[in-house]
Amino acid sequence: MAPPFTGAYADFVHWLLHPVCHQIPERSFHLLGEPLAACHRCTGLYAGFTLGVLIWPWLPGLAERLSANPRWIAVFLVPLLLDWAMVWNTPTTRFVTGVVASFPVALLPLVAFGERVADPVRPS
Amino acid sequence: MNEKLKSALIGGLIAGIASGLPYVGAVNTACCALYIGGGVLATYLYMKDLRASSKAPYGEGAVVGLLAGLFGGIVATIIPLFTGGYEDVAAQMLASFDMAAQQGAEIPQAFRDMFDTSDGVSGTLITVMLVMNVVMAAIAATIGGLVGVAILHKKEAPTDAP
Repeated sequence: MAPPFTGAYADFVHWLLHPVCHQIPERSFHLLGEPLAACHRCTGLYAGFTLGVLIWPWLPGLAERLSANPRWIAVFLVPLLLDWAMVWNTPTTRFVTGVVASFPVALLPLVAFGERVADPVRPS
Repeated sequence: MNEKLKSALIGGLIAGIASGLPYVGAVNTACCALYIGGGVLATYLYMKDLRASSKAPYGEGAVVGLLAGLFGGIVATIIPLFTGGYEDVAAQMLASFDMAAQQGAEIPQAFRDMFDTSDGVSGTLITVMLVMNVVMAAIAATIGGLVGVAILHKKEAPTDAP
């Protein structure tokens, strides 16, 4: 992470996130000379998910179509898997395929949240 | 036992054990794959006996995934206590602190104490790992649960109008 997360703090933040990302510096974006604690692909996944949460409420038509055919979400994972399998992937492809994969997934928690708010007590 | 809880326990237990094991746990470095898988598994177990419905139960899937993540995070924190995982990581951290100190960085004593395993693994280290594991596992497994519902939901066949 960037200053003030440098030195020992950067090491600590990296250690915190090490179970969920390989954190290879050559495969991570750098901010002010320090590698981020998440790789290009993970950064893309986080960015896509955050973007999705912010943007999906403004796309009700598209959101309705996708939630009616939720299996389409799996299709958006294909570029990420192909990129992962390719030897010649680049920081851009890793980041962009991460964004593409997680953007539609962000719709699901919004739908679930709406469902729980509308019908909070549901028999199991 | 409640079906939801049972499914979450099985999914969480499997994901947690796998995540806590050396080498196998490294699969989580691929976007929390084990925790997401635990959420999907928990949802699969919960949904396999559900009847087809017109509406996918996303809310239920999220809850089952969340519970699986909570269980998984706790189990993943306990396992390294028996496999020596914390000692290895602590030694690496102390070495990187020493390197940072040589380059002029100030290392807070609390950080050093946390990773000092000379008297056994510190309670602070276990607590920090527990919080971190539970939070990450809960987020990832909830997403896994939701993706599980999206993929596994059996849609009710439309009935013909009379």
